[in-house]
Amino acid sequence: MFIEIKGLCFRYPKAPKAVIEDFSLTIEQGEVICILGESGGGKSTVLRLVAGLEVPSKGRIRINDITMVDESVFVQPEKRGVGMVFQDYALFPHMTVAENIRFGLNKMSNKEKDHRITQMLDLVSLGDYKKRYPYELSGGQQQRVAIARTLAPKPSLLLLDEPFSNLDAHLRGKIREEIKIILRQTNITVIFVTHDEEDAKSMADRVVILKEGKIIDIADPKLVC
Amino acid sequence: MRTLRFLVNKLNSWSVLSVIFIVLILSPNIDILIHMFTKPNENWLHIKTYLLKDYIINSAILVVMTGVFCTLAGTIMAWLISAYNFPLRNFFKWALILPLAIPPYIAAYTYNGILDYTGVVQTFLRNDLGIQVNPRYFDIMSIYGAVFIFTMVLFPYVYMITRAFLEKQSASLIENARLLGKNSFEIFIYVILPISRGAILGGATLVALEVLNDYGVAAYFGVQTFSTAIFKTWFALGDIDSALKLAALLMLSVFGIVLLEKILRGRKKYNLTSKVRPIIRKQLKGAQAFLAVFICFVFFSFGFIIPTLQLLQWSILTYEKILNIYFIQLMFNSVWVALVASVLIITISVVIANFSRIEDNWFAKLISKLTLVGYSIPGAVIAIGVILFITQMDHQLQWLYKMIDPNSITLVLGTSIVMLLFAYVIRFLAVGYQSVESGFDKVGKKFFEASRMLGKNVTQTFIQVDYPMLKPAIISGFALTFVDIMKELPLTLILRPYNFDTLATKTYEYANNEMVHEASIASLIIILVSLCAIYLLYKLGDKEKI
Amino acid sequence: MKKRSVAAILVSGLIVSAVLTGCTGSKTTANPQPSASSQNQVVNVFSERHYETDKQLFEVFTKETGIKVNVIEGKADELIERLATEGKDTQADLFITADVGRLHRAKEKGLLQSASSDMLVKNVPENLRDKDNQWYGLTVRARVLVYDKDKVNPAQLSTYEDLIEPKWKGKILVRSSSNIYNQSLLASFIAINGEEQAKAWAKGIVANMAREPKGSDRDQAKAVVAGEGDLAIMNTYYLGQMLNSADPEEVKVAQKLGVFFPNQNTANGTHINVSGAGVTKASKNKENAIKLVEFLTSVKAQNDYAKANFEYPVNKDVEPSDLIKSWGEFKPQNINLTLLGEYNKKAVEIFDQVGWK
Repeated sequence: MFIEIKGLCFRYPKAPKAVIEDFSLTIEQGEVICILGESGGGKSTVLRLVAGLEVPSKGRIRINDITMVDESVFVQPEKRGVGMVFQDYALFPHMTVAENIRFGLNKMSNKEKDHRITQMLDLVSLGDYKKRYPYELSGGQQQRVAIARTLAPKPSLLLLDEPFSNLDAHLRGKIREEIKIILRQTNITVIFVTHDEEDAKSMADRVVILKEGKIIDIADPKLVC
Repeated sequence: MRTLRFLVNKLNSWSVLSVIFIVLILSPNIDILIHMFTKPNENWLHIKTYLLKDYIINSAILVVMTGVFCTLAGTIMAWLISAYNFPLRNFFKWALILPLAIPPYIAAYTYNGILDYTGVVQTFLRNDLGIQVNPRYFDIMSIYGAVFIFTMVLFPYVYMITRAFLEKQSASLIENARLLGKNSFEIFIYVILPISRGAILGGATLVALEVLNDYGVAAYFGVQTFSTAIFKTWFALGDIDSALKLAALLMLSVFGIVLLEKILRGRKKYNLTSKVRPIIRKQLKGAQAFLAVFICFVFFSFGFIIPTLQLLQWSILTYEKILNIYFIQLMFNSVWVALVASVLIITISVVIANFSRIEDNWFAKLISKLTLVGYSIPGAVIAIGVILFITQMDHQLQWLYKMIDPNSITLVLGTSIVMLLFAYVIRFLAVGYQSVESGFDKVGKKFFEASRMLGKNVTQTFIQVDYPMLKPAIISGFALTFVDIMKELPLTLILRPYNFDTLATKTYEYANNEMVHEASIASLIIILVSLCAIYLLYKLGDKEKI
Repeated sequence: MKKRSVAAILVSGLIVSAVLTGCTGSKTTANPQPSASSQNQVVNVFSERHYETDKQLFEVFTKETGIKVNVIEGKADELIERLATEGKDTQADLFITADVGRLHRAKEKGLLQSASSDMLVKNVPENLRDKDNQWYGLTVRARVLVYDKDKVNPAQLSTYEDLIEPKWKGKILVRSSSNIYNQSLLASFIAINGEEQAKAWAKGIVANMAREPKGSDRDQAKAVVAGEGDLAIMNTYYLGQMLNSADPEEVKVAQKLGVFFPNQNTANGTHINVSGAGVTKASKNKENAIKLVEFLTSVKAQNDYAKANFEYPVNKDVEPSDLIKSWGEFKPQNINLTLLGEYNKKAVEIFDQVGWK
């Protein structure tokens, strides 16, 4: 058991209703989990809680047998070894593609960093774009940079927030396949959220269906869709 | 356990520093706040019977009228500069900030000097054209004259902040509106105004606060405002309690303005995405181009050229008598105190703004609002609070002084420049903070979160991600505070160490003796130095190609 | 690269200024030392007078006595507050103001102390110094009527009291009541005529004003020539300044103006005020402070001190400047100036009650 989420609750101060209620889930190493639900249903909040960007009002999260958050512990996001690709990528506009990727690489010699950057850019097939700035890239290219940046520090867990929502329809299928290959190559544990059943069907090992903050079903993607 | 986790989670250098800074800024004002709750005395009754109504009406007229005019002028010009190309646009882009270099009280003296009986206008009409005019037509010494002066020298606050905001806006917004069949005017009204509301209000708030706090212009023009009332009650009636009650009322109205700003600003936050394409400027031609140039030129002339030329003429009249090597020392003093204080202010602003952005809760919001305290209290009141505080500090530190020098005097900090710097920080923190905070607002939280996810802590994130993106906001905040401090008078006058003169105190020295002509050289140098600061920082800011 | 250059500029600015703070800081803190050692004699002054001559005289004083003069200039009210707040720790030895009302206020607050010497008693006439010797006048200024020589016949002018007659309706120009010279003027009337009459006078002036009170004394003079009113109430030395202005147009205006000393044929004369000095209660260099006041009131200094600003010397052995003499001699109000301070608050209240802005 790689990730254990138990009884997770989250509400905004003064809000009448909890955004997440009693969310429990265990995930095995290398599994790709999809959280499927309508927008505003609390999907992204789950990711943010796992990432450490929000503090739960109740519940516990353990990753790789280390408690990340419970009643008495809170591990800061930068200490969790979790990577996240944001919905709109959040590429640093003042850095080139290479600098963006280099950003997450700590405790490495410069040579190792250069090597890793090249490796990552090859992985996402953007070897020639090192010196470009984010605004010079297409949406699909930006997304691949974002994934390369997130994977570069070798996180133990990858979180993807609506990874395909900003892409053109005709690109979606193609990029989905590409990402799937990239993820398989790295054999990384993944949680991604989406509102699109196609995404879930093509990529996930298991699908968690979330409605108004509660899990209503956990199932095999082929059965769900 | 829960509170422990909460504490551990929140305790980092940013939050700790924020709290320390705020405590330091508040403590000199605590004594003053306590006075607020003393029982009203006979003087208060006197004030209420004879004066209060006028104070309120006059202050309200000044603030509302100046606010409206500055907002209109500042926003329109920010929009012209951001969205259009016309002759001299690049020049006006920064020239329109220059009126900030002119202290309002100097503008008041100068304009009265231009328009009064011996001024250049009436003299020309009388001596060269032989027209005797009714001097009343040229009388600027009224509440409306004060509105004119304030508008002309303060509109750049709105202009600067709004323009900086518009520069970061995506072109697609405007292009979309254009494609939806809106003309330029409609785009301005329905798109630009609503999205820049936060920036415009930020500028307008600064304007309102400057006006409320002004003493020089109102006193000279004989307009009874809150500030003049506070001075009168305190000094003429010798009643510090009533004066502080008035100060408290002033503070309330300031917080009212700030609250109003928050309400008007609404809860919307416009984050910029990583794929901003800057607005592509439209070329203006013919009459339209002429109109754009004309608008900018009028405001630039009234706000900068005309008063500067007048001061120049006066300095030519008086330089032989006045100018000496000592002015270099004055200039040097002015510049370095302004420099040090601005650096301190920006540093503190950044710390507090970052803290309040990260901790999005009531406590952080409170801390962030408290930065305004100093801006809402008249300079002289702050000065007394600071003297009291520093004197107490000196007493607390006696053991240390005696250890270093057995013959040490009691008031070590109290006779040093520290006192003045401390007061500057309290007074002008709000100016720097507004800029920095709006910078953080623009950048949003997304890049911060992305960086945290890539293994950087808050401080690393600030240095590598936030700082580079905030730089324009930091630079403009720095320029604003620097220039404000160069111009500052009441605090400098009362809190400076022995034998420490600045350009502003020199100006005051002459102006107070009603020697306006003799005051012109020091005023001109203030303007010149501020101009350099504005230009230099503008140039640094302009190189940013993010 | 760019990032670094900005940072570098900021940082180097910070370092340079920190170093400078260190230098200047130590310089300024070192100066106001108590005069424990004899070779390091100082006197620390809080002053409201901002004239170049003051500074030159301080330099002469230092040259003659070896006592260094350190100065903080500011507005009197705020300097009083600073003195009060610093209390017994203050480094200030001498407090100089441009108005007797403020000297009195400092005395009332217990910030000054009695200080006397034979020379001071000889230099400063009795009515121009505090009855407890807590302050001494340095220069005298008169608050007079100024009129346009072309329009007003000085024979029509007589007293301050006459100004409230209906014939002056819409003709009087005077500045705001927040100005201390006006406050002292009204205080002198309270002292001489009593509160009721003083109030009636203030009310009458408000009724006769040519315009709302605003601007400086000089502005009132210009308004007379511009025809906004017939008479201005103002201090003499401002006219002196205008006559010596760098702006020829101002000189022209000043030349059109006549000076009238009111109340010459009544029991009391023209209102006068002094700029003066008092030794602070917490003074750590009292001897030096007295020496400085002696010097400033001496024949030698009085010549320059009063003349440079077109004021009247306090020292009877010194003649006023030629310009001042040209306005003629006058009989001053015959009251102890201490009273101006005592009635100051009352005067302010009356101004508010009668609506003198």
